[in-house]
Amino acid sequence: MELGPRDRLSQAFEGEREKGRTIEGPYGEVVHLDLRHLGEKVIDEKLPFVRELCRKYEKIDPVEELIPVRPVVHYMIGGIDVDMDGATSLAGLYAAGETACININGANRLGSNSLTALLVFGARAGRAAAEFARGSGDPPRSVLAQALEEEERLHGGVLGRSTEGGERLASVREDLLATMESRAGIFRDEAGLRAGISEVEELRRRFADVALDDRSLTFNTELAHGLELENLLDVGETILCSALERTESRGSHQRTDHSGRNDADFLAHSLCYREEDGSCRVEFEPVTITRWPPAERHYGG
Amino acid sequence: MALKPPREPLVWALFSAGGMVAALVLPALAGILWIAAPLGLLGPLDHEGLRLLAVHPVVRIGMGLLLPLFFFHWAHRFRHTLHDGLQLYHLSRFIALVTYGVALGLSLGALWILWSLG
Amino acid sequence: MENAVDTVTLKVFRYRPETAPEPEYETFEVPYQEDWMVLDALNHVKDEMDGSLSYRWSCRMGVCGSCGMTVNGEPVLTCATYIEDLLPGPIRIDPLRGFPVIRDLVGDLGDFMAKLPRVKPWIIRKEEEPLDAGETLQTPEEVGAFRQYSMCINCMLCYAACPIYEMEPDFIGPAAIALAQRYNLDSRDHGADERMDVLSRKHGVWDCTFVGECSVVCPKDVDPAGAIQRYKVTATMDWFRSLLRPGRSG
Repeated sequence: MELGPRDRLSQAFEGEREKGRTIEGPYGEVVHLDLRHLGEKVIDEKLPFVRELCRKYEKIDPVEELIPVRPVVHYMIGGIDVDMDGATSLAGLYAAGETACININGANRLGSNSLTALLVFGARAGRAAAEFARGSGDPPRSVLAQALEEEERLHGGVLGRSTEGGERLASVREDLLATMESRAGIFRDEAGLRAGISEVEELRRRFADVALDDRSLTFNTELAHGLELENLLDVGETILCSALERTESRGSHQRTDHSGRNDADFLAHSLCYREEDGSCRVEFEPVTITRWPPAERHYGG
Repeated sequence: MALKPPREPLVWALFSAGGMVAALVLPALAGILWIAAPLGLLGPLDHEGLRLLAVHPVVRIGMGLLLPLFFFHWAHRFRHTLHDGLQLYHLSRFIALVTYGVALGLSLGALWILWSLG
Repeated sequence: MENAVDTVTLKVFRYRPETAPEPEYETFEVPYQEDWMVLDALNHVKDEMDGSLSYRWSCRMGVCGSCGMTVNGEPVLTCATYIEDLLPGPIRIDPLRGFPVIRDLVGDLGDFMAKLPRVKPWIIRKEEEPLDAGETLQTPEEVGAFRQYSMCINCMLCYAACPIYEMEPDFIGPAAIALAQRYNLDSRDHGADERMDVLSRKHGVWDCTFVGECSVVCPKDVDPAGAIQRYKVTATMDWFRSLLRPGRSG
């Protein structure tokens, strides 16, 4: 089980937690990972980074002690819809890496594939982008106009608002993390997902009142964090809406109210669009299957 | 700050070699001259005794190789002490000329003395 | 463990070029937690007290190299420096030495970014094998020859610690040379000659006087000082060889 894929491990952890068999830790519940049987030589040879992290950051030596572990959010499997050359639906906009979704990872991104995917498709995207740039002229006026509009929006908004009685960025961020982890975590259900969607709406209202301490235009990291948080609210909403529409369980998306895989309806990518009225529309696009048809997923032993 | 590229490897090689042989040879020399000799373990070492020792071809050739290396090791280290330590950048070329020049002078002097011992 | 400490004082370098031409120190009193690193304290300041404090950070686990700063005079990764080890405080936090300050704790690393490509930090091949020749195999020993130098995370602590770099900003610097060696010593690489020019000419390895501070502060045990001394040997041997073969460039 310890060498199993991450989705299975996380689900097992949740199972233990529900049975009350996890241990209370300062940052949440944990289970203990025991590497002692491997011995120092094997650990130094095969898991040197693990040992270094444990000693440096937890003052624990895995050769002799147990490691407290719990699941965390680690990778965004979905992302910006792109083709094999990283091109998005906006001409001239390319995306690669974790932020992009071709999708080669399916419902569960396996270990080490993120790095190789980045190298392969990053190179393709870079070349395609260079080709495009070579063939295009100056950016159209509309792009410049958009940039000025955005600048005005920022100056009128987070950069210009009074901080009197305003909420801090960190507070909205923390609450978004809590919402996503509990509503769109390892196990999801309809009630939780719907609650999550209204929570994100509420967070958007709160964000609209956030003001920054940093008004400067020189390396303003608070502004960068603010813009990212604004985007995270959108991303959170796409996750919750897509999860709500996908009434099946597949890989890292596990619905307690719809267990089991439904290839007939959901062997597809969920595509999320923003409507004119601001709401979320989810469409499904069938997966392109060429060489290997999907089968039942089995793990040895 | 470095000498013209072809010369830097040369002075560094001399410095390096000088440091290494110094580390190897000086403890042995110290043991002989400052411990064994005063304790009388080498027999009487008066002027004639030492002269006989120094005149020996092996010793002369050996010292002829070692002494210049020691001098150049000093020169390189002292040059950097002045240049980097006291930050006398404007005198960079002058310091290099003087330190290596002195080392060269001392080496030639030593070689002459060793030669004239015979 | 007995610890009556509730809070700890941070003395942080502030530089806000738009409003004040001179830098100053600002004091923050942050809560003390046993497992907090200096970075956790800075994040607390930014989240709860003053969002205008600018600094770089990312992975929080010592692999990205973003969070290098000077803490109590020493260049360190703030994500890997326990507050506990700096008690009772106050803890002084400055940007890394040797780099012009853009804002608060953020330095301009442009100099290094310009120097790095000069050492051609990539595999250079005389001739590329066709794809169907398969992967280029290396024995564990061959990988071992350069692995250490590949651990560099470009955190710039070595530049901050190097007294030569402080006095001679044109010195190509410890990390750049270590990274050059990572490729020079890689059995798949054929580019040692191309790198020799940059390394053995003005402000290359010969500026280094083996102070060794770079290796002392390196958080990944790259030992750039060792890499540089090894290269001096390589460059010297190559120079002697060129003497014996006049006409070949040294």
